Amino acid sequence: MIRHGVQRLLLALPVLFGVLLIGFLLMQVVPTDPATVRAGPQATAEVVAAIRTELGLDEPVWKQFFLYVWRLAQGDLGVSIINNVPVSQELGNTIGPTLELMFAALVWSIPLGIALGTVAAYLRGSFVDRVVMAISVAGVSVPVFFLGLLLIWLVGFQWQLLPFTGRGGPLWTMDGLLAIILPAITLGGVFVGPVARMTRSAVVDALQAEHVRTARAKGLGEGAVVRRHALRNALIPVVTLIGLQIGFLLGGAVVTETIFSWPGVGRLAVGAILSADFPMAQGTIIVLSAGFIIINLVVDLLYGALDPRVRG
Amino acid sequence: MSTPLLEIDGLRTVFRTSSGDVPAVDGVSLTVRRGQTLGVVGESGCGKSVLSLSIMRLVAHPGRIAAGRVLLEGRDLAALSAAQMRAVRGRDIAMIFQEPMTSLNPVHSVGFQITEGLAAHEPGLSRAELRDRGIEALRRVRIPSPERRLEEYPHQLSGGMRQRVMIAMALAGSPKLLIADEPTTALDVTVQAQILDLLRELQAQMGMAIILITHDLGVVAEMADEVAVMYAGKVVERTDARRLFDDPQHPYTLGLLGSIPRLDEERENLLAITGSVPPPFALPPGCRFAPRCPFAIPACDAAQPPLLEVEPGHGAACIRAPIEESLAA
Repeated sequence: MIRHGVQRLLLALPVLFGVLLIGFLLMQVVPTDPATVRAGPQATAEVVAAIRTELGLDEPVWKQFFLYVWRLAQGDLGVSIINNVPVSQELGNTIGPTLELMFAALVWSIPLGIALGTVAAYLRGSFVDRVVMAISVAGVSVPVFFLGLLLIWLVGFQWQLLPFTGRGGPLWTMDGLLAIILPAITLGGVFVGPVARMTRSAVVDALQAEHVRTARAKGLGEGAVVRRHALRNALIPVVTLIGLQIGFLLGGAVVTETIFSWPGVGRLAVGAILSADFPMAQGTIIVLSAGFIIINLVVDLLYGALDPRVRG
Repeated sequence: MSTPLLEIDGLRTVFRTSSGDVPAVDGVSLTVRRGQTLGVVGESGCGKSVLSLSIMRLVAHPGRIAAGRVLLEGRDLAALSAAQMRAVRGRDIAMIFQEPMTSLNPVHSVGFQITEGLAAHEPGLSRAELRDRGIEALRRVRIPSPERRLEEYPHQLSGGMRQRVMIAMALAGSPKLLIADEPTTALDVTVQAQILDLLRELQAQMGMAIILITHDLGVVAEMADEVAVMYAGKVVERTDARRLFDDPQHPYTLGLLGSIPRLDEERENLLAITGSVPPPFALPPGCRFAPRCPFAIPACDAAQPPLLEVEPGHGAACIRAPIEESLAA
């Protein structure tokens, strides 16, 4: 089990390197010159040239990349071009709120999705099944930004029930809790549908299994049959698919944070990209991809916990 | 005579299809006496598995029991509520299936699967008591070091061990009736013999009755007291095991026996029954075996022959039975 974990961790290193390379190259093709941005609109050509030399932007691209990776290996993420704040410090400030938002989004959407999917699978072909599936198709189809704007307009603006800008404070305070509700509904809302659909199809399959008949032949009640012998087995594919979907959730976090002014990594990323703050943008890309890799690692380990055949 | 343990009377199980209800079990009547073994024999598709699921009321949609009664010690199982029926399953009647790999849940340990049924029937049992009962159940089916096996998962066991676990699970609740649906079909021949020996020993020890569903007449010869031969959803012959082999009356049984290779007889060819079982949605109007029967006469197509006693305790559903006499005539 531990060896398995270490193996997966080592495999993540080349992935991370690939992410760095692609992130770096993407920033190269952006038609904005960081030196010009840094120098400001009134700067002379000489000043811009001087800044370019200072930032090392006149070096060949491959040299810039390896210098960047070299610094990164030493834990140096660079300094913001815009305000000279170290990138690592900004990331440190924003990562907490992002984790908070992700947690608040997942803590209700995954259980709800699994519950809806299981009920739909058990009552396959019934009215309930069709209603659940209709809701989940709607959930899959609604873009994050639309759901967010709708909630802001209705709940926040028209009915004035909940705050919709920024983080109200730590989660254990009332303000903090109230402020996270709308962003968490927005981000989690797009997740319920896919989870419900995945769970439904996995539970439908699991219910056909012969061991379900064995369980009934033992005299178990339907609740125990579905929970222990269908849902428990179905969780293996469901967890795998959830792991894959979390990538979209990170994308959704960028959008959600932006529309709710949530002070997280996603909003930082958008700001950095829009202002051509290359070191900052790259820092956020690293954090978001590392998040994705870690989540997949966790899923992998969970897989081992759920399926004794993988434990070997 | 006391009431039999299980009495099946005119059981009819149908499957709903786009072209109407199709019978898989069509008017089957059988009795099982306490501590005895009833063998139910037939080709695949003859309805023997559906029969066993019907007894347990576990026929899956779109199948349903359309008529007939199943009496367990005189109690009509069809009249029980879902909760009462659950109390019967696993405690009064237990079941083992053909494929021990897929019939066990791969994600739960052997111990969990054996004890969860017990826990459902006797909610008062503590964890330690359940564990003890699990160990006892594994020991009963001769699994070595049961304490350790309890923690293992199905994929860690061999095919024979898995079937032993299935048997341990079924017998953990000390049922009065064990339904064994092709219990040895998926196993190697040597393991088959071990499992059959084990079943016989456990039956002698615990005194349960067994309904043994099989296509294998060798298994029937070894295990059964009484035998019912099924064809296309109907019982075509019913008698004790000795008479079935010595003096078969239905042409279908004759055909089945003719297709067993024997070492003590010279035979040019094995006799095969020509043709195939009619599909349940296109059954012939008269005797269902008539199209394949070498002894068929025009009257066979006129009406379905009832199961009539040829001699006391020996029934055959054939208007030409007893065959030898009718051929001699």
